[in-house]
Amino acid sequence: MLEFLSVVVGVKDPQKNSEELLVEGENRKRLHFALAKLNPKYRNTVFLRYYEGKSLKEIAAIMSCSEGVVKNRLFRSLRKLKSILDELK
Amino acid sequence: MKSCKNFEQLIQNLIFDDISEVERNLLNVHVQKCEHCSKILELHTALRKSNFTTANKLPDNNYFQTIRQNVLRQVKTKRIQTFNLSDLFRRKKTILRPAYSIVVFFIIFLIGYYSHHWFKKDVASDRDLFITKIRQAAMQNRSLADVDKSPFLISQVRMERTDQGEIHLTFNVTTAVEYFGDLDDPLVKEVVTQALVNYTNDGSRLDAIALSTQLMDTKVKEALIFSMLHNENPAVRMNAMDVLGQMQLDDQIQQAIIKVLNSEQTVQMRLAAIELLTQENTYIQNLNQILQEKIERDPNSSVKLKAARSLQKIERR
Repeated sequence: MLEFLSVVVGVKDPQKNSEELLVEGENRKRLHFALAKLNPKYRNTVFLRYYEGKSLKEIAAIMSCSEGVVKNRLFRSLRKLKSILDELK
Repeated sequence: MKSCKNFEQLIQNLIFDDISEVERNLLNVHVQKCEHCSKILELHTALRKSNFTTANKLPDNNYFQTIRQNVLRQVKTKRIQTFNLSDLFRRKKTILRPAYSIVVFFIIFLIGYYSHHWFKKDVASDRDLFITKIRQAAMQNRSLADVDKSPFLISQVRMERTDQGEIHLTFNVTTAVEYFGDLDDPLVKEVVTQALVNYTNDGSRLDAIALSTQLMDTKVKEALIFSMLHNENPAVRMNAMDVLGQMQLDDQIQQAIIKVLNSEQTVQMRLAAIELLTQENTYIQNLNQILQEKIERDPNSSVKLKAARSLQKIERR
């Protein structure tokens, strides 16, 4: 579980050595790659939620869709990201 | 997986921090057993953590910047998704501009429709003007000599009678012309005349000869004489002589027939010439002498015999 988590966490820990930092860099690249493979609608939803930190209502307003659709879309995005990252392992 | 379906909604709520304590506990219990759901939640946690804590530290965040710009651009352009007529013209992809397509198609249709009509009208008026000029020239051409000087050289003639009794002419005068006219029409007479003397096929010439029986006109008569004397095709010469024989034998025709009698190679034509010249009600000066010459000098015995019999007939009158 920790291994999977490490795939996506880009936190720089001062205690980590250079080898671990290299692995983190590699993981970030994988995440970027996985995001790039997502459908633009899903990718934008992920971006708005996790990068911009937008609320459900805000995302729904921006993407001109209902809140239910946003929730569903984000869940599907995560599921798709997970499957892409699984393939990349 | 079936149980996962029940927890999807809870995970969706959790992502947006819209989950009660009871639901959270239920989800925790499920996640302990389900690797699939736990990994999704881990991904959610990781993404949230990575962005809020280290987004600015990511060495390569151009990708996110690009996405941000794209999203912001979309937010600007698609702020409110309501139908607006002007949207039909503003959308970026050409394929999504039905209004443009319809307008462009309509304009092309109008241009095509009217240009076709204008063109047709112009061509029709040009053609009418052209035919009027040929008709005017035809009216001025009274004899074969005038026809020779005519600025309009008619060739490739085809003619036929229509059910309405009109003459349907097709001919070339620098360009192809199609025309309908009656027997009194000067253009019909002109075309018939030129068909007899100008270059055209023998079929058309024979048609012209057949039609000329109904056209009482000097230049047609002269053209028939020309054909009778100079056409290369014996059938044309013979037909021309037949038609001339049906007309009133004036001096001009008589002289032409005498020329045929003296110079024609075809025996049948010479015989027919003797027949025409010795008709009743026909008086020709020196006919006896002409026939006597034929009896003495014609190489063909049938012509000699015919000339002798005709001479006897004349002397009995």
